[in-house]
Amino acid sequence: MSAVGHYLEQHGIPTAGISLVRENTAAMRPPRALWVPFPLGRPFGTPHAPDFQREVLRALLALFERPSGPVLEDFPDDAPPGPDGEETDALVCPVSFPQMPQELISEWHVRLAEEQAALAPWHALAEQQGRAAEGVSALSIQEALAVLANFVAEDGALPAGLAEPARTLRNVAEDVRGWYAAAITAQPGPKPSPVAVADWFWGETAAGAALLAAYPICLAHVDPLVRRIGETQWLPRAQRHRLPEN
Amino acid sequence: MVRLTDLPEIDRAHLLGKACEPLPGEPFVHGPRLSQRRVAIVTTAGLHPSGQPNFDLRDTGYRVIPGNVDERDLVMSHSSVNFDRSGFQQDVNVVFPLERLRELAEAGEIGSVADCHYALNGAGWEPHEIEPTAAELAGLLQRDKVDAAVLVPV
Repeated sequence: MSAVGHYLEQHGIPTAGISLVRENTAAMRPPRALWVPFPLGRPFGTPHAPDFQREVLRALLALFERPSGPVLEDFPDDAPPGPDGEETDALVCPVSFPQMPQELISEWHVRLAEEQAALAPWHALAEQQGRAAEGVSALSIQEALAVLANFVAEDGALPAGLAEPARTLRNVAEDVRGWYAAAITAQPGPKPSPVAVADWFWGETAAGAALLAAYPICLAHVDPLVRRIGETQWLPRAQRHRLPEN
Repeated sequence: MVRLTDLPEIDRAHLLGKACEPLPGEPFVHGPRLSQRRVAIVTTAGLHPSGQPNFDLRDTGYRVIPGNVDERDLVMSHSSVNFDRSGFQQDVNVVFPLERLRELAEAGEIGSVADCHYALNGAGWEPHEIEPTAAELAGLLQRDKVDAAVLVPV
């Protein structure tokens, strides 16, 4: 982001940017930057906290009044709790996932479909609340999960009949993670923290297990684009400890 | 509270290992008072209306987000999986504060909100590779009479 600011400014546009990694911003010296102590992915701090978001935006905009730069200022406050209270790292998911008979454990289609059905009411609530913003694959969640199940169960089978099956696979992974995040954060009461959402998805859900199972299949895939997607766009660094070799 | 020291070691090492050399020169463009400025958002969150093409890895292109966009239509196709999406899933303003910007315009704290905002995919390219895109965006922003671009990463 520092580079974007530098080049926009070089071409005549005044800029002020949020910094999430202070050390990197300090090194690159963009024209105006406001470092904020918030999680990656939340540059304005807390969802549904409009007063706080407005204060962050005001602090950012105030940098335009500075007479000279580069400017790197620190936002003083941590992100406050949202309207449902402090986020929790100890997510206790009240969704009862079906316990599959042992002989069906490898049946990814069944596991994923049953899990999706159990979470569907929460996702519907997210939609009613005006969010649930997954949709980059242009597939329904049922179709997306079927693509994922096929890929894992059939050792790397890509969706047939699509112009860009590898990219569809990548977008399926994005939509599945997004759909689950929308569902779990729609539940009433304190919201799970970003860490809790990630640990729940990757550690406790069949969809997370399917993505983990798909990871080595991606890396060994005959299609170089699938291999590249596996290397760079599949598994968060912070979740690699869940791989079997760890 | 989340600071770099709070991140897992593997994420911390990755972020600090990025090449972050200062770019040549220190451009700093002045403008009118804030209450007279026209403000646009430039985000590297990989956001776009759902009908626009998804971002790809190493994608240095941009997507246009109209100022009258229905925020419920925005999707995120950022190529990195190493940041939280659950905040965006709950409230787009935690990533793309268009509602907050409109409020500040209505209150007279800024002059106006731009007709268009822009999104990039903030991963997969080296700093110098984004220069042609930034030059093109600067032209578009100037045509919209924007004199304040707020830059929002994820």
